Amino acid sequence: MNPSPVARAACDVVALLDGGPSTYRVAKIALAEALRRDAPIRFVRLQHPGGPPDRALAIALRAMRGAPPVPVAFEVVSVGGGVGGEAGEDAARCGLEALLARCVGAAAVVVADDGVLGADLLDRVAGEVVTVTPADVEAASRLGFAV
Amino acid sequence: MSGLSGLSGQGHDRSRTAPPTGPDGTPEPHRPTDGADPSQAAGADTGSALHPEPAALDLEDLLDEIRSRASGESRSQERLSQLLMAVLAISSHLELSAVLTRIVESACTLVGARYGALGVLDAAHSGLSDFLTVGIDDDIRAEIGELPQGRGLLGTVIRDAETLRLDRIRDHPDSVGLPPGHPEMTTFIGTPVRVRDTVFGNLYLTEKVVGGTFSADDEAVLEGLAAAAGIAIENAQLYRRSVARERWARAGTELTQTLLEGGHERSALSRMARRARSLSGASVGLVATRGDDGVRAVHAVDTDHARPDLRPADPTGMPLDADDWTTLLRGRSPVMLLSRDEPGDLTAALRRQVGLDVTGVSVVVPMAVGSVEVGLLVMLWADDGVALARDAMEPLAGFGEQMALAIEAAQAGRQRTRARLLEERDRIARDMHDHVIQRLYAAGLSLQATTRLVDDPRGIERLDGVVDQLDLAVKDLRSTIYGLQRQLPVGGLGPEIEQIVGRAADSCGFVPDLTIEGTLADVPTELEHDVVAVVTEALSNMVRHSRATCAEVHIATHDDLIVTVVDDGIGIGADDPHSGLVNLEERALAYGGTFSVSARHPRGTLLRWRVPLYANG
Repeated sequence: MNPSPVARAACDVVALLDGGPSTYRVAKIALAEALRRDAPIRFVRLQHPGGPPDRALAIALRAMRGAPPVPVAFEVVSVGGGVGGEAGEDAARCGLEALLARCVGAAAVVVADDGVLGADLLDRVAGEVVTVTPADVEAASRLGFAV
Repeated sequence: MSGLSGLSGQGHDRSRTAPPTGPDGTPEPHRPTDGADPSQAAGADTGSALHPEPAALDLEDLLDEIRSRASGESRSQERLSQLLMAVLAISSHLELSAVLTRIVESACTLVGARYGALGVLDAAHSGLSDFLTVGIDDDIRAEIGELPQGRGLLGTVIRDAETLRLDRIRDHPDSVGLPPGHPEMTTFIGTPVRVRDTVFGNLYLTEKVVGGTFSADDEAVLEGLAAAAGIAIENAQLYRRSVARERWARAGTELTQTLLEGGHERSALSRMARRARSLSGASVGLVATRGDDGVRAVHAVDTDHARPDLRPADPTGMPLDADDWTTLLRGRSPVMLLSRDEPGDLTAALRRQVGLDVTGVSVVVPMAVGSVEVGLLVMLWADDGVALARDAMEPLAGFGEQMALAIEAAQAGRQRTRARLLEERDRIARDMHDHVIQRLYAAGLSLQATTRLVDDPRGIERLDGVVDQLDLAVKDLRSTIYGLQRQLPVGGLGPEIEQIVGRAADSCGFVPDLTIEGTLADVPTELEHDVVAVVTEALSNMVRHSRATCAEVHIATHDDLIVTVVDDGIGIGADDPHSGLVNLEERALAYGGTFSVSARHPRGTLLRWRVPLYANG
């Protein structure tokens, strides 16, 4: 029997959503990747304590509107912030480590090029890294989406 | 057959490169082209030019050849007939599972295979989601264990999507060996079954019963059957979708009708959860709407009765009002959520509450009409429910839209009824004030004037008594008019009860506890005024007579509407005046209910007012 499609993580597409300007594109491209691979998406929302309200969930839902049904998981990782000094740096480092751990073994990670994790780091833990720049419409249109 | 992935075989030949072989696996005899001289052809095969044979022997060979061809034609006719019978057999079913089983059985019969299987491809077309077998009994299947996942030789057919025929599967380079307990298998033929242009699955057959190996004829017949099987599967899928659509439509129509006819909303929500869960095959179905308190919470739950382990804690009343749920609702599109108990998981708490494993899949359907957010329809499956959830997304979305519209329309209908009721009350109040009271007042004045004309003291006394009674009647009428003209506060019965309790608290120096069990939205409009009257009268009595230090108002709206007011005061005596309480008793009796007021031990009073709720819903 096949392993549980819910528990299976190796085929996941992970999208790192930081609520920034590229969030919609990241979600759209992750959706296209997931459809192409017939894989679930894990939308990992980056939470900055003390930051503005998290809009990533709403943006991801908007990106999925009208698309064929894809199983999605929403996760939250706190990436520090709000605390200054050494404690703040420690919190940020722990947050980034937790974020990286969420990407381990993923088939593909879609991330904004100005995101908190660099493609070089992600390359080591995920099957493929798709980087989205704010002006990058090419990647999306290549996958059949108007972004 | 479940271990077919382990079969191997060297000397295999792919159908597109294999030399032609006869039904028994040996190379087929050379057949001359049409118009060629059969004797020459036979002579060429036997090398007659080098070793001339007598003419009688040539004729014998020729006759053998003719017999052989005639026999071949006869066999072909027979196989064609068998193929047509098999096509008819698989086309006579519409249930997909029956069609699939019939396909494998027919394939085994047609090519004379001992074992047969149909592997259904998963959504990614990289493995198998289902594996039906013929020739493997339950004991062997149990001994083999896990069904194949589509690796090894089975994976080769999946990957190449072409017919593969092998004389010795054991030696095939893709073979990965047989699992323990698996029957020995040598010969093999596998072919894809396509539904339109997409491969649905693959037919795998092994162990030719008669004749040793599978032939080119077997291959041709099997491919013909696979083509017919594709059409039968498509028909079965269309039939299944059509039946499902009809069931969803019927459920939507029934519930819409119930809601629009003014049926009990909570009961309709329960049916909504039950029908949606049942039709989508989910383990748990929930409906969350806004309650009287304005909080979006679970108001109806249905669980799979085949899972008695579910629902250890009733999630009814559990709030789904967090920002993320609101965002999902405002997203306006159904979402299929995977739950893995990671931070940020939206459904983990809900799954725990109903007793489902946290790892699983859910579909959340927002119910909204325009800008009005009605609520959420949530279906929960275990972790093997992704395919069911995917299939349910579209019908659930349509069902949710229909239900949102019906709920909103029903609420609007109730509002209109309420408005009409208030208008009618106003009219009655005006009529009583302008006509009835004036006439009673005039009659009282006339009687008072009449007393001056009467000398008999007993007559005067009697007339004064009647005037007093008329005065009391006018006062009662004014009180009733005041009640009729009272506007129900915005927000409904709940806020009004809270206001009454608040006013009582101002007078008695403590705040009576107010508990509501169930939903006040279940109280029909015509009963709201009675509930207000009961609570008002009970608290008024408590404030005036009981000298209580604490009190509790409890309203339950399950099968009956029950209002209970208790206090720890001096209790009620048999001789105490009951004028206000008589009115409450009459209100209860009018709806076929009961009313009682009694002393509590060691002190206090218990007032209980009950009317059947559903009879009035």
